[in-house]
Amino acid sequence: MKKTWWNKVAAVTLLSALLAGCGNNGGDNAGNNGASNAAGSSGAAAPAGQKGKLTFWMKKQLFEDQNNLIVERAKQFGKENNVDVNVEVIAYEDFYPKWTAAIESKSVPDVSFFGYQEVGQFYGQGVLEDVSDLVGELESKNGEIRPNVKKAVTFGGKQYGVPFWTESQVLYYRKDMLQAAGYTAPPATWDEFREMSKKLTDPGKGLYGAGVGYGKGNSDAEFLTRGIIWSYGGSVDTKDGKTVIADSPETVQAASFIRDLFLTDKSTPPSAIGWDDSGNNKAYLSGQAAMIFNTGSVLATIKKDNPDLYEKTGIAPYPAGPKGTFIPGISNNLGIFKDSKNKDLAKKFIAYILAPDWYKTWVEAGAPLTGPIYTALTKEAVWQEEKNKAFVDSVDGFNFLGYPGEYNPKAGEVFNMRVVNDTFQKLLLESSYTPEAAIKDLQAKVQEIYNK
Amino acid sequence: MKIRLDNKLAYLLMSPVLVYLLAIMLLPFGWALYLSFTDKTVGVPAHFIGFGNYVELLKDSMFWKAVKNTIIFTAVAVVLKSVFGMVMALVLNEKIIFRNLFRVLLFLPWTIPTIVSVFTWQWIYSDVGGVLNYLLLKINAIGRPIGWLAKPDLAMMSVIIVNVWRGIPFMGIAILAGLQSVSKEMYEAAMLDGAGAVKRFFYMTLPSVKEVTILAAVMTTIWTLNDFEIIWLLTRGGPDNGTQVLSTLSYTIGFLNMSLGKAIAIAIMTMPPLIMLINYVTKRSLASAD
Amino acid sequence: MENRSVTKQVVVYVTLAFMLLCALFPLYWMINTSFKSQGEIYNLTPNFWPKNFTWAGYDKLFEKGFLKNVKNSLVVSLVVSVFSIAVSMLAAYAISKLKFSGRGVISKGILYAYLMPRSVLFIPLYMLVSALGAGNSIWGLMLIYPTITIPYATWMLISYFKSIPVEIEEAAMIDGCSRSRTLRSIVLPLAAPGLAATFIFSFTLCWSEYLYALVVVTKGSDKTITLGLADMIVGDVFAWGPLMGGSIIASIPVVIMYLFTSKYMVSGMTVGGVK
Repeated sequence: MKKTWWNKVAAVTLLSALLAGCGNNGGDNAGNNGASNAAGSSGAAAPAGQKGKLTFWMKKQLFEDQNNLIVERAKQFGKENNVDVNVEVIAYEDFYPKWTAAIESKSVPDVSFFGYQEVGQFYGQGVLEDVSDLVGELESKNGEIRPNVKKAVTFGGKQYGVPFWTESQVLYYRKDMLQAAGYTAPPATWDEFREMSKKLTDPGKGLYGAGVGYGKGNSDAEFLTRGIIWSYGGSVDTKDGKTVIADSPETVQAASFIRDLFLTDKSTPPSAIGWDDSGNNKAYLSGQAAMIFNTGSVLATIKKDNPDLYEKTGIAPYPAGPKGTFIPGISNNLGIFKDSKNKDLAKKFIAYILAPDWYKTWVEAGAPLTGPIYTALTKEAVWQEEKNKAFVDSVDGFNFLGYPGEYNPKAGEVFNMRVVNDTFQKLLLESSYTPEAAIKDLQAKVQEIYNK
Repeated sequence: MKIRLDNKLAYLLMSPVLVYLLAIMLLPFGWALYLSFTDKTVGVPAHFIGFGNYVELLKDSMFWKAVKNTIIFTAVAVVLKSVFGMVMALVLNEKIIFRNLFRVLLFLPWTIPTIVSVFTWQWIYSDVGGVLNYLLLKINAIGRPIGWLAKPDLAMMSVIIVNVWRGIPFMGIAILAGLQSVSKEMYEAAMLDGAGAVKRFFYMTLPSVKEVTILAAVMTTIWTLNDFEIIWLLTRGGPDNGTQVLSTLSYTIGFLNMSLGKAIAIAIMTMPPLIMLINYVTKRSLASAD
Repeated sequence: MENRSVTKQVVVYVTLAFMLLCALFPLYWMINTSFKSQGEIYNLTPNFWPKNFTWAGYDKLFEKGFLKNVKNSLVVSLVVSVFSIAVSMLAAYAISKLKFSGRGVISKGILYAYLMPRSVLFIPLYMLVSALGAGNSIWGLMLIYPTITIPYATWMLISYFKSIPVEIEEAAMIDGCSRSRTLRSIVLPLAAPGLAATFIFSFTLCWSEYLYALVVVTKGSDKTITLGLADMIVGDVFAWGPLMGGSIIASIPVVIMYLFTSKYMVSGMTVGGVK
């Protein structure tokens, strides 16, 4: 008798748990099926009474205004086209797990943000839609898209993403500190940069000339290193997509330059080897570093939070190496997954976002971080301002991962695996490790990736 | 109690847990196991390649470095957490003033979401306005700021500190709960016998919470081994792969590089040692029930 | 005797002070930072108390609907913890107190289920949840989170149950108590501290989970606190004030929950009333 009491309790617990589970699932399932049916059948021309659905994954922008503008614009599009547009604003770091889960479960967003590396990577996986026609249409309607940003998403003559905005890394320098050290202009060459960094460094006061970091995940460093190596005539990739040409006297020369900056001159803060992407921001904002390389995010932040520092800040393009100025390009794009159920609507949406009138407002709300893709818009007054000019001008000097070859998924892998940062971390940590040996190891590691 | 089988009752009691775990975990687990034997990359159908991923990993020096780092990270962190957790439990079990208040305060580090506590520590470690360097400089313990995350060994120590800081309350409270179940009479009996504090700890206290401590340590080991956020957010496995552990390596390969099959193979390879550990621990705790 | 207890008191309080310092310093730093202005945060020499005290970080937090996130986390964590403890308690009792065939395999199997890291499982679990139609909502999280809490709770409870001397139970059963009665009036009260501890940790495991939440929930209205906090970080620029302030607010419900459960954690022995 006593024992049956237990049986009952347990049985009821179990049953109710199961029922609750089933009930929920059943209910939600029905709701979901209804929604996806509607989405599936809507297509381009949604029949009256049936509302389509469009999902858009957008990279979270630094400026709240820009995020809000996008959401409003999407709503407007939804109203005009009788669809529900669902905008999700996602931080860049979080995109990878989300993309992966979405692709694998075949529940992809219709339109998504992609950095150009990801366009290449996903093109390599064959999950992206060819959007050349859309790019062509946009250009014929709205004027030229800057060739350099188009180049980054072009594979075999076709575009797999629509350029959305550009970001440029520039040199930030403290005008007051440079002046105090007797300099009137920012460094024009890397040699000048080294010399000035050394002079600006004063460890006793906690001041360092070069706010250059090498944390493992640091994408700023991956880009900067390439910029320096390219300007010395070196490479970390291939010419033809097959034979790696990293091991060259030019690359070694660039590596020696970086090593000297860190180890010989000690012009960098002591913790710089561990910096993540926010490291150089911190160093500059706190006045620890006199010069850093960064995108417009720092300038935008200090304009708002630290007007005094904003006034003291000068902006210049990357210094030049023996072979000229090479700027690692950052381009941001919109793309459509092959698994999207609303491709036509998605294209229409992208065109709507990139309509020049509205686009101009949006892109300028993010100046100088976000630069326009249309050549014509770079002539606007906002980009002629002293501190903003370098950001759009730099785009002409853009080169992309894979240089001198064209961007390819392997070059993306080299970047993603942070092979270059790894090599330089080791070079800067072990004093017995020579630049020659480091570049030889780099060559081997990169070759291994290209061989796979 | 007579030894007799209570099959029906036992399975009835366990059925909610078993049904849930089978329903939710079995499929994903099979899926993962299968993918580890394929060349699966994101968005591309998988091809069976047998032990290809495993062989490739075993030949990869980076993998072995990550294995070594994982062992160091896990072992040091778990031992420190267990020791400090035990100390915390013992102290909080004493008759002290404001005992409840102190319990809450010592529990706090666990309540802060990892992402935020990591960023706080990043600031503390920073050489820019970093309070740790500032204090050490002030008391002249160091001559110039130290890059806590900039050298492989230091970085390993720094990430372990964060992990330990966050993990002590779990061990502490788990053991404390065990201590609370220890009979006061037993204590008093031992006191009357004139047993010293140390002796009392080893002969009375420790045996009574041994079970809980070991299990809490096993849980902590599993969590620490799979701990990803702290290292990823602080160092990404750098510098010079000095803090590259299996979880960060797996994430890099699987999600930044989209080689899912290989990433899962790494995760699967961490299982046998853990299974051995579990078998060892549970053999004792299951057997001692007789 | 007198001397020894004074020494002991000193040792206890010194240890306590040291542990408090280590545990609380980072938290103090967080609070300190949350009230500083962006400019002051980036000062080269840190201030130990904000020069210009500002609530701006907190204002921004509420502007962004952080309370909604707190509510979501609270609902998910509570539902999942209560459910997990309820079912785990039954399973743990069976494993620790009953003899049955397959006991070893099953009890170990529950722990094995725990070994697969989240960074692998999130993809199939996401697929499962979307297939069940619970994607993009806190329902999906409620379905998934017990995978984190059940194996943990079951095993911790096994150990707590087992620390209860069999003799007490036997005595009760000999006195004519049924098994259910023994469980209710002997085992559970005696294990109350363990139950409370397990509950509070299950709660916090759900509370600070990030990866599943990130992948499953995309709707703004269903975001949990960890997602809300992550929203404060954009690229290489962090909104330190709101970020730090948010985590302080986020810890308040956990502390309340802890205070509530800690009542049961104080000496289960007396509550149990063996007599």
